[in-house]
Amino acid sequence: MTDPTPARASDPSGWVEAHGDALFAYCLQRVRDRDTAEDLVQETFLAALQGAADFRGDAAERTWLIGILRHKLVDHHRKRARERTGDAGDVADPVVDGAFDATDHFKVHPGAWAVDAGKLADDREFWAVFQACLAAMPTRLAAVFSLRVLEEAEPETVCQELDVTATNLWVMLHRARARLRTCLEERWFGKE
Amino acid sequence: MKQHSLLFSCRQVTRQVSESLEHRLPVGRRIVVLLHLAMCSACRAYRRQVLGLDRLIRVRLGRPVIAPMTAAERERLLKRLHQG
Repeated sequence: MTDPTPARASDPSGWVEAHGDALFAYCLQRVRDRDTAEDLVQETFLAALQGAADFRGDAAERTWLIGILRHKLVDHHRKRARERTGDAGDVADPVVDGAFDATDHFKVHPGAWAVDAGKLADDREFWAVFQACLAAMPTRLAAVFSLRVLEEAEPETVCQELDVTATNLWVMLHRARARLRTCLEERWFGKE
Repeated sequence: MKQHSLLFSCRQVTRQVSESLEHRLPVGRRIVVLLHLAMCSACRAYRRQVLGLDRLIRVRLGRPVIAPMTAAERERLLKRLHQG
């Protein structure tokens, strides 16, 4: 095996040069704003510097750094999801429930749009709107959605860490998806 | 075993649509949802859109993204790291 210490451990500038943009981009896909991404990338590099001795030469340096960043991201969403304010899935959600009439049927028919993944996956403007819609949601819902859908945390883990039942988790995810759909219909698909 | 009404409302169906992304629904419930979908174009549209968005997010997360840091962001990062 080669030297188990990363070549650039003593040279943060070289590290930032080699991996900074990639970590930043990875992060930006998963958090609401650049400030948060910047903080998390900083924390990642700081942790990496401190933990350089633990680096195993059998993983690529980039993979190792992304691994640290993923932990930081999960911590970030978890902290936000734990904030006591907001929806725990155990009381009514006036926005989501408000879409239905007295007989629990849709008041307004969803629009005639469909999602073209091939077209939208790389559309920067769309993802800016997507992040704005996440930001407009109650913090707790957005955090639970981010943990489960963006970080792909196991449902059991999410339930345990947030101290909610599986049913509450499903309700929260449903509300997040419903709000996201409505918001994107208003701000994007309805305007196409 | 929990009994389901043969008819779900739109409100109930939207919840099942989301839950179906988390796990396979029990067969009884799946049939009740399908019955509703067969009769309700609003829920069909809702379902198509929610599943479409879920898939879009997965595609997006698999894509390499080019989003370089600004010069100011890079500078702050370096400064911070050199402070330790």
